[in-house]
Amino acid sequence: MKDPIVHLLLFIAIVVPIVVLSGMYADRTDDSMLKALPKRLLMFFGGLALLIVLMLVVEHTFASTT
Amino acid sequence: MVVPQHAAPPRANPNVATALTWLLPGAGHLYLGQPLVALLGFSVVMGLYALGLALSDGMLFELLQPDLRSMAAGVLAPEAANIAGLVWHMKAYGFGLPYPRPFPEWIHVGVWCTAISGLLNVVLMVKANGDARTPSGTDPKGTRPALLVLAGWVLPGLGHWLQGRRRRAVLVFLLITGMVVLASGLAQGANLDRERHFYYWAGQFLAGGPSFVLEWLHGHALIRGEVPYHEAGICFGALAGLLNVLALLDVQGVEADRLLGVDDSQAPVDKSSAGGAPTILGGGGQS
Repeated sequence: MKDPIVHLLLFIAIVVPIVVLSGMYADRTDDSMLKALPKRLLMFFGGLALLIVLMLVVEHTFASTT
Repeated sequence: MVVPQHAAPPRANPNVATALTWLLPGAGHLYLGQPLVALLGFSVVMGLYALGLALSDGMLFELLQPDLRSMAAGVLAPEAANIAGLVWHMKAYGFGLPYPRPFPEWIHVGVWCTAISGLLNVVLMVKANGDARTPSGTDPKGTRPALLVLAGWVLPGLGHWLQGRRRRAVLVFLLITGMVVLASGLAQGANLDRERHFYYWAGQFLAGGPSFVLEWLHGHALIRGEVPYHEAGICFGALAGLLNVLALLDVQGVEADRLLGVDDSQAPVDKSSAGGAPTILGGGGQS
């Protein structure tokens, strides 16, 4: 991958606003929103990791030429 | 905790009022029996659209590449929030003449005007919805939620700030504005031109003031050479706008609940009232 560090930083830069702002929409009080933030981040990263694994499996099974 | 303060029914169906406003600015307020508000709303929203058409010579959809020109081309544009304006536009100008011609000098101002017309109609829809939900026999209370939504578009976080939710306001401002600035840096300004990225621009438009200021500062300069993170930049910009919609929904939802005397988190609750049923103290401007 080209510039993996930059990609990782961009990934974090886009994940944090998504999770924080969706948390704001879900929780109307700041305290409960901030309290739930670590769990939401973990869920988001976990979900994405699962998606990546799924995509790799699909690619390996159906699209690989080797 | 949900505490309904008003037992009286709403004055009209809020969904009908909102949908009518979407179809024709002001129609929702005519339905609500507020002809002056209807006339004012219609004049401002459609007047701005007309100004935009005049400045851009109706060439907005000529910014689209030929393969993107279809009957559904306007659906993802901010103008789609003002159906009457969009239909008028498509009927009168469509995709333009069958040969290339220069764009007018003020086209960027013109397309901002037509886009803002759509945004203002959303604000009018919020007002119509709030007015319709206000109980019969009381003054319509839809103005404040509508103005807060407008404020949150003009400057991300401002709607929260005016609601007294200061910490959240600062967070929204930093996240949304930061994303738009980062997007513009990554794309080296390529995200700030509706001609270049018609639909990504539409997403970014929802981030409001920061997008406008950066586009004005950038001045639609030519892009010379490769932009390594071009795609990342346009995605960040569009996402910033879409996330600001979440923030605006938060503002509108809380304010509408305060309007109806339903507040599950913010207002102080007096548990000492008769019968043990809690009532909200000063819950958002109830009369």
